Amino acid sequence: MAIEREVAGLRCGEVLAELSDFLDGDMSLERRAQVQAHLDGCDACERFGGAFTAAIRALRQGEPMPPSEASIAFARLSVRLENAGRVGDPATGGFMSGTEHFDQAAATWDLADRRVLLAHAVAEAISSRVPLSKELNVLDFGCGTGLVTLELAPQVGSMSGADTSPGMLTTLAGKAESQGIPVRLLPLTTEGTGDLGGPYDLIVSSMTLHHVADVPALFSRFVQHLNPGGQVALADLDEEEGTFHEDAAGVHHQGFPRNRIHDWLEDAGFRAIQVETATVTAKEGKDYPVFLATARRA
Amino acid sequence: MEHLPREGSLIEDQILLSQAASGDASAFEAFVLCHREAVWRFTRSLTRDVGAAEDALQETFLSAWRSSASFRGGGSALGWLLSIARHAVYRQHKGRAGEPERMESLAELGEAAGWGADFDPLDALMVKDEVGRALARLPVEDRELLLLREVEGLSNEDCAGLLGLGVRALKSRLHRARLRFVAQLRGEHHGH
Repeated sequence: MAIEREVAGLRCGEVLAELSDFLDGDMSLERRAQVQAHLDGCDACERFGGAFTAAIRALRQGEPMPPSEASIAFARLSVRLENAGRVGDPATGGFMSGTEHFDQAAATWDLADRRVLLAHAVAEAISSRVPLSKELNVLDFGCGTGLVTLELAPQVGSMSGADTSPGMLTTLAGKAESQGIPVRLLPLTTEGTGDLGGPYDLIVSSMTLHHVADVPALFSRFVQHLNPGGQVALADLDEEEGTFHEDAAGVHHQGFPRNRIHDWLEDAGFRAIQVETATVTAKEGKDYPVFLATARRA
Repeated sequence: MEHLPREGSLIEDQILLSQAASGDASAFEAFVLCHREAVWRFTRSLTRDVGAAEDALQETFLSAWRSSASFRGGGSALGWLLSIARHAVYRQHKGRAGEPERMESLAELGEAAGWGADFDPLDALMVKDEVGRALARLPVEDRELLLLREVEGLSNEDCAGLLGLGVRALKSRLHRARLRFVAQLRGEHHGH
């Protein structure tokens, strides 16, 4: 119902028209005092003005976007920009736009997109099988650009990431900083040696074991960097025919039979060993199951 | 956190963009990290669809990379980016931009928002997600204006430039959009 009183020399309709200017401080002091006098003397306008202001303030505070949606969107954005960066730079005009770019980038794009989703699935499998808490000191071995690292970090006390690639660690550092997530970076030599720090309560690893020549030696090394009772959660491919990697450089294993992972963990001194399917990743119409091995240091 | 200064000052943005224009991908990456949250918030709220929002997000930064040399620093870099984002969104929905505004009288808009009614929409603000839902139900031109002005905190001048309006027209549209938003919040609360 329209209200048309006149208070302090202003009609309600005039106040309604100027509420935004009043809220934004976009009027002369004199006019402001006059509107304020109307509001002080008119219950209906005062009530509406208060509600209007509160509603706009609530809008300004915004609501957080779902973080998982955002992290996937940002990961895909990085991949797309990385591809663009490789295609050319703006100074030389070598940049290809639209479909041209898409055609050229499609192969890597698909691969990278799959990698993002795979990391997300592994992180979910880890958090559903290992009780995570703010007390845990965690290492991601072979963290890469931190797809798994950054998803787990907010659920644990402290997170470290070890990798042999300085470029990937630099990318991880940038992402960690922008998301305000502290991650300790541990650069490794190309042979994978270097200080792993710790001791940790949990060591995780995703799609890294098949790049490691001597996996039993790595498991023994994990034992040395774990607290008593500390756990591992390790994801990698089931044994496959060598079709997963187009480029075999740096690939020491074409996946692993699960019983072999089990035995290696046992030999290294782990107990409560479980090897289960974490997810299945598809590539060129073929399914590749990914296992998650969890175990506890005796 | 009302109208806090955004990450990355204007001068910093300008330096990063000029380095990007000469082919420095790491400078551009730093620029992306400063602003991707805001662009995501904007495209995600404007499109209502994750896939379309992701496409627009990527198009925005690819286009910004291509045209980094054209940023002159006349307004904020965020305003420049959101202007690109807006075009990226509208390319997906051709014909959405420039729809004539429905011209209800202010009194009608006010009444729909509860002017003169015996109610208190403050209650609605206590309920999680209602602000977002009310915003999502607004016509796209109101939504984008409120996102730019209130959520991202751009100035009236930046918003006017971005939407191709004079400042006076912008302020009039903003007031109407705010009233429609309050009306939606009220409708949400009353379960209409």
